[in-house]
Amino acid sequence: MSFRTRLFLAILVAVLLPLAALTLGVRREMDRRLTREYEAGVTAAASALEASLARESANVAARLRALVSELGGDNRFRLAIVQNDPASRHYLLNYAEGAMRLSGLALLQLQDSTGRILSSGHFRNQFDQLQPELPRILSGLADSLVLVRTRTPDTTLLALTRIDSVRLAGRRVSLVGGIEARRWLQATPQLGGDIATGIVYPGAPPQPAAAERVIREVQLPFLDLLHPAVRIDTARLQVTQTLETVNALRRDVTRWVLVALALTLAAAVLCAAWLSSRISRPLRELSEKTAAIDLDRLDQSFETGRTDEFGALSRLLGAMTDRLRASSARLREAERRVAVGDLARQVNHDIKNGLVPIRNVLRHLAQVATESPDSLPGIFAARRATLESSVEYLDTLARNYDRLSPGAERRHCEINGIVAEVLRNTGPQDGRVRAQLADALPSVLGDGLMIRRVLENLVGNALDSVAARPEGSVTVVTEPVAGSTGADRIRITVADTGAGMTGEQLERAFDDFYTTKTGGTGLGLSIVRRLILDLNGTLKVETEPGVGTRVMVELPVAQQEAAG
Amino acid sequence: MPTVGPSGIILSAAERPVIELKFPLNGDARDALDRGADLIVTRDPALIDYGSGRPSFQSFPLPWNRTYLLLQPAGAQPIAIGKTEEERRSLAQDAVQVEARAAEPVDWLGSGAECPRPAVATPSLSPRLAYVAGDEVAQALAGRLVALAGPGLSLRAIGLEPAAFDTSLRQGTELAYIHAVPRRSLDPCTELAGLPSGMTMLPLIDTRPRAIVRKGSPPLTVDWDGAVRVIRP
Repeated sequence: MSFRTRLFLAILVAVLLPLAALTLGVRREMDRRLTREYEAGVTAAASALEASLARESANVAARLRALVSELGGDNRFRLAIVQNDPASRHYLLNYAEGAMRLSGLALLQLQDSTGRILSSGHFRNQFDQLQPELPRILSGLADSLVLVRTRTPDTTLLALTRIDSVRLAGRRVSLVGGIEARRWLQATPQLGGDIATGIVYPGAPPQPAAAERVIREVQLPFLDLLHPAVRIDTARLQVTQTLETVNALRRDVTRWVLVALALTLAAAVLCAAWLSSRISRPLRELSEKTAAIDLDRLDQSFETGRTDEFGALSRLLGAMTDRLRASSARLREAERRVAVGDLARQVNHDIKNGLVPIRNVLRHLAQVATESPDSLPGIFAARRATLESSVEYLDTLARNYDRLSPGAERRHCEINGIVAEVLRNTGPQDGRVRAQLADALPSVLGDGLMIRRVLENLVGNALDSVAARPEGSVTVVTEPVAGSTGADRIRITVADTGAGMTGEQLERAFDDFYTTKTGGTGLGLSIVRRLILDLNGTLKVETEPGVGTRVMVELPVAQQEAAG
Repeated sequence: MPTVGPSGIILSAAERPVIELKFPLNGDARDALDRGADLIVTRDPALIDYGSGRPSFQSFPLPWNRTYLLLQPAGAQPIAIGKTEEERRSLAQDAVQVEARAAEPVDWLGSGAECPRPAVATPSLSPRLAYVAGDEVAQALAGRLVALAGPGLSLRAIGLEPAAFDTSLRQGTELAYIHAVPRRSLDPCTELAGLPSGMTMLPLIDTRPRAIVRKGSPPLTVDWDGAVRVIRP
């Protein structure tokens, strides 16, 4: 796994883990707070329900008391009990219906001491039925409401009931009155839309499986008159909280958390990719530059403006390259001394090769002059080409060896003066050559002839490049710059607007005997590179086919060189 | 020829008494008495009681002209109520508030054997006792039967609109029905056309209306079917 991949994964983990923890924390805290709020609301609702139940109990008791009071003075009702004539009986049978309607009750039933129904308001024709359990059980719970399930002709009735009684003509008459339980429950003020109330009693139809939970219950006695065995039981008024809102909130939070996670993941991926690339790119560049270094290629530039660790590493590598360059120069000097012998032998061999034809021609001419002087002019004319060819060969040989001559001599050199002399020697160029020379440039320590040969090669190449372009130009610029180790350097830039080079051409441009020019020796840039290395300088080439080439040579100033 | 006016219909002839039918009559019928009506035929006990209390009116009973039947499709769980004279008398005296008596046989009910009648396809299992909504006598009878049946049968009363009641009766979709029929009929097959064959029919009570007549009004007579007719003075 590459450093970049590891860095990428580390950033992802660093972003996602806190986010996941935040998500879980938010959900947990939301649950806790919502539960607490709902519990408070439900507690208040349960209290309100109990208070309402107590109020209704008092209301029902008051209505029954009023009915008892009215019955006490109702002679017609008294007669209906005492004498059983048809007219009085109809009054008795209809009494509870009217009284129930007037008192606002939903259930009213008058029973005698045996439990026989004398009159029923909610079920008029239930008269004469026996329900002794109802007054008996209600009498035992006189101070509280009892939930009673009974029936009307067409439905069942769930009523919160109480009992009162009156004695008429020596007979005890019980009044059972009540209100409809579900209607009362619906009219009870609710606290919050998520809080609901319901009635649960034995034999009740099962509640729909809604997403709800029971929070509070209020218990009250329950009497089921529809059950064959009538007995007191317990009903519960339940305060429930629907979980729809909470669940919907959870779903919303989860959905947004997932959206946030997805966005964060995408952002983290992009940031991680960008950061890992940004962090690894300088390392990769340093690695590539370092890989390109060898003893013949010590002109890699490690210049950087960074002030971080990568900048320090880059400057360290630059300094190391500088030291390698110096060591390489010394090694090259030693090699050159060794090579001088070989070169001398090669020169000796080459000169001898060039001199052999000349010697042969001269011997031939001497022989002709001795043996047949009259034919000398003819023979000379015939052998003259051989002489001239040999002389030309030697001349070319001399120039080439002159270019390879190592004769380094270090002294203070004024760059601007050398540049001006080289430009003068280029002859008239119709203004195609321009110079931008910085004022007061410090001198460099080196061989002026070597610097001149470098510039002659570079300017010559540039002029050759623009020769086929009427609008082409060559610009030579000198300027002071800061080196990779902080030392001051002088940069000489030779730029042309010529044909430029391809990448392949640039790769081979500094190889010996590589040339793209007809009649070129292929030694020019090779010599330039070696000379610059000898001068402890650097060389950088920027080129683009069809646009031109910019060659930048940087040489250390004399003071720095002397100090180093 | 009858004359139709904004306040009612006036039936008149040159040598005969004039009958003016005043509208609306669907409000409090006591208002009609107070506004000068000469004759009201009603079963409403409150109106009868009110008319009896007015010295300018007298009331007299009309013939028993309506019988309430307990109908049950064949095969339905029987409601064993109203089978005895005493039970029917109790229903007439206490369960309903109109003038009623224990039902006596309805002649034409047994004479329709040759009448075409729909058949009930399947007996119903619905524990409901249906009646025509708005018929207070039928509603009271149904309530009383439910009360006497007790909670064990889970019987309950239900009022149906007339059209729905007729449909249900023809199809026999309820456990039982309370249905009113005239005690006399010129065409028994017409009356029996809505009653499916195979249903048990138990007459429960007979009811009759009363005529409240202003004193000094033209003489009246009652036709064979209980209709009140004005006769020439």
